Amino acid sequence: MRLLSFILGRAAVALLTILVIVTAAFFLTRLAPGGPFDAEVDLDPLVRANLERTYGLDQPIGIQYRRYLGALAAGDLGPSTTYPDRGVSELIADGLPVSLRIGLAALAIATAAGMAAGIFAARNRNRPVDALVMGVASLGVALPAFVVAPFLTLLFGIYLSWLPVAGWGDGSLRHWVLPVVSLALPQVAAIARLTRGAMLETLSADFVRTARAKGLPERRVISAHVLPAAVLPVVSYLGPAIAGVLTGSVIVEQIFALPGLGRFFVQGAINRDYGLVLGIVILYASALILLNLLVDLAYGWLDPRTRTGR
Amino acid sequence: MLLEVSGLRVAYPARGGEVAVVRGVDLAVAPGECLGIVGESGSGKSQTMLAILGLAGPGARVSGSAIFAGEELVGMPQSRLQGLRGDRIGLVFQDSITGLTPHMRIGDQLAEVLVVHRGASPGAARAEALQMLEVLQIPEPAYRLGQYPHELSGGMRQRVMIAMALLCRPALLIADEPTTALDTTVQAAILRSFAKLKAHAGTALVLISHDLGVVAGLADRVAVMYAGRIVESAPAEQLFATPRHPYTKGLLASMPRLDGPPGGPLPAIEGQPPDPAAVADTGCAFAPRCGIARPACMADLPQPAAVGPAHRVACHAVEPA
Ligand SMILES: Nc1ncnc2c1ncn2[C@@H]1O[C@H](COP(=O)(O)OP(=O)(O)OP(=O)(O)O)[C@@H](O)[C@H]1O
Ligand SMILES: [Mg+2]
Repeated sequence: MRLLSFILGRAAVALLTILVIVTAAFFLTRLAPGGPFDAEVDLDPLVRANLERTYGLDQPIGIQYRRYLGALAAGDLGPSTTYPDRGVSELIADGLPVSLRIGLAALAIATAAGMAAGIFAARNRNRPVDALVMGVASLGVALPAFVVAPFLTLLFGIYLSWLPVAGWGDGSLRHWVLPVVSLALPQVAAIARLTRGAMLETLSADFVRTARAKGLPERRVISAHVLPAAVLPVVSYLGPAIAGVLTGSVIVEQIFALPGLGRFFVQGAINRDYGLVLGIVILYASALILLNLLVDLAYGWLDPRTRTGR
Repeated sequence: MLLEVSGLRVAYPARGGEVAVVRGVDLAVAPGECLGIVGESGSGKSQTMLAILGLAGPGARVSGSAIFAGEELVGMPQSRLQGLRGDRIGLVFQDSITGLTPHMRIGDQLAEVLVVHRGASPGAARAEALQMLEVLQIPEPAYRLGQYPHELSGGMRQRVMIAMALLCRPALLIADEPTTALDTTVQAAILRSFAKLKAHAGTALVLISHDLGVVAGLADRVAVMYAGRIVESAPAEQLFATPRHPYTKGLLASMPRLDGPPGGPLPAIEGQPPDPAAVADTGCAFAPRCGIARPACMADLPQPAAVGPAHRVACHAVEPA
């Protein structure tokens, strides 16, 4: 019951947040210099006026805004000026599976590999392997995807020729590897550092000493008493990590020429395709909000102290 | 003897060598006996007990001997020690408030002790855990099993810790400041349950406390620790009636008494207990704070000597019997 009202409350806040984001994005895109039909040089003024009328861009901005919200409420994301024969919803349906797959794969790898590395480093604290793992992690945190991706392409795609340089091909695993790794790497590093710190802090907690005093085998001390506590900071970090992967995917899809949302987003922004940009912004915002809600629910499930109504 | 500690030393690596926090401790606990260990903060009471159970901090160097029921604990592999801890030797720590795992239900934390040591089924373990909570007079015990530590009061958490240490009916219970930070009624209830345990189950008890009143009520013998050494040990009555070491005398004088003069501040021992890194093995560590120190006290380490039956004192100013 408390959970349900919590979720409903969050949903209401989420709707409001999305409305604010849509509004801001709507006016900001239109404030930006240029318009959807500026790319074609020497467009006949008559043709331009015609086009603008077709897309409703000749109307005062207030009316455009009201129309957009009306359509949005009915689930219609409107037309795209870049791809006139396909609606924004259709474009998103095209790009989403690609983005979702590499995004979720990157998150899963980041969490699994990051935590494994962090636990390993913590258990070998102050040994050379600890320093090595943490050194690599510090580097990984400092290097953004747009540096990592070209480097990996150069190494595995061009020098070693093990993997395709770019493109989605038939969508087989070979085409995923480099984008997913580029996307995951900075997050692996961040999660590894967080996990190591949390493990070390938890290992010196009083309750861990109690667990040892009870004569529990070390494996059980770690798995039942240390890990569930040490994982909490990582769970809190998943929210920012998701945001990081989302932003990263825009860049990575561009670098690897993947037919995902990120590409559409960049193209839409360059072409001043208002409808496309707004549609993707709404989707990103919703995904971010939803995933953060899931993270908060997971946190409450892991930490009973945040659960009880006191 | 159930537990016999001799020459126990605990040192931690430090810049330019190591710092000894326990410097040659001898102790003995007979089955069913209660040994009280008293001393100011930092004197090494906890480290002594943690070290013999293999629970000293990372990097600790432990030497000497600690024989429990015929087995040498110092140098024993962790896997063997795990079998003893929580089973034959129960431990209750001073930090009861943070001593329970926050994300685990009380019932699970209790039950796992029996599951690990006795191979009990979760159901049977729960039933025994419930019984132990009843013995320790925790209100609504069945309900507590499903609660998390943060939902319990400090006194209840402490009793849960004690229940946990007693589940396997250990031969020895080590209680490190079990009643610090608890109000006096809870404190009295916990001490009563220790007394009962000793009388009925024959459990030997090592009771660490800097509250002499707590020790006086329960201990058969008392050891006084100062700067990592035992400076005086005697049967409890004798120690309280005729303390011989100036440090013990100071401790007793600073203890509030019902039969003492009312009002007025209690005399405290002047100065601070020394930093373990500053303690040398030449001379008596208490000498700088001692009212009757003489030149020999600064130069020679006083050795424990018998001054009466089972009464030993390490002080140059005390004539051996
Ligand atoms: N892991 C460690 N590394 C280095 N020094 C330590 C470590 N643990 C404890 N010590 C030091 O050992 C000394 C003895 O500590 P111990 O906990 O045994 O004192 P205590 O007599 O139990 O005091 P209290 O009454 O405050 O509990 C202290 O000076 C403490 O700082
Ligand atoms: Mg202590």
